[in-house]
Amino acid sequence: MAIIVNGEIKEMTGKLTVEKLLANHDLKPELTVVQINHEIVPKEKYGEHVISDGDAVELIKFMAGG
Amino acid sequence: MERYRRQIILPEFDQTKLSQAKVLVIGVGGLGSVVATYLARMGVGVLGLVDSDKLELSNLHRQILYSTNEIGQEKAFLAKKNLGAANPEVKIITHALRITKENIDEVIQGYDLVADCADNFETRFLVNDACVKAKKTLIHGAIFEYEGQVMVIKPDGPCLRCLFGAAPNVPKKELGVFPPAVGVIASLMAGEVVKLILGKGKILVGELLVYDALKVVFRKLSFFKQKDCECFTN
Repeated sequence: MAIIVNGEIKEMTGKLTVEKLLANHDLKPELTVVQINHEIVPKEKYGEHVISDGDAVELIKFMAGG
Repeated sequence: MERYRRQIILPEFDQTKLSQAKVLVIGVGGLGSVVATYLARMGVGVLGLVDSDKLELSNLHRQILYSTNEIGQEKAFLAKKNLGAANPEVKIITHALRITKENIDEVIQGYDLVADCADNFETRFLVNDACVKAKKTLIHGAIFEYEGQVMVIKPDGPCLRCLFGAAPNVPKKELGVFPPAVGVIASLMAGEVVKLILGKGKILVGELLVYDALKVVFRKLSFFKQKDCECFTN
């Protein structure tokens, strides 16, 4: 399946949860907001929410540096 | 007005509006150095500076307001001195304190706009909540390594909590920071502040602009007010 991650098209195989996608990107769940098709995925759903073909995913990092 | 000649000749640039504006910059570190420098040099009326830290050697690679011979001195006062030298026409108020739940409302009172240049999650959420409550527009900018982000939080638009929920419960650790990314984000913040004052152009409300210096990419994403957020009923 093809999904869009941060504006880039990615080819993926198999069942892909938000949690797995974050791990693939080396991102910490507690420091990342995930938006799928403009809707924010609640953090407690990261383990169960399965990403579908054609989904537009935004991985948004918590940043605090000034 | 000779000082501002090259900006006054910009189409529809109203220096009077700028000279009547009161802006608070929270944190005069990397981001705050640049934001405050532009605002002071461009001639805002009142510039408030919040910082409780003293200048350290490891600040100097990115905090362009300061010099090596100033190490050990309080940043709020150093910033006032250095900005005052750049433009003595601006009234600069120092708040050499750390933002807390107890003092935030009083500190932001009296300012039209607040620029969040803090260096930690806790302060950023305190500032967000206080601005939502006081119905003040907040210009948010933050840095993580080679990346940065900017957004404008208006009383009628989504806030920091609508996107990020709550401050993450992670121990504070020292991160690397790429100084040019700080400059990019801070310049964008200063631009939004001035555009808000002038009432000019499109403002970054309900959108987060993310900059990645390594990929040389800007990404803009939309977000919305959340029904369970404090700002929704406000």
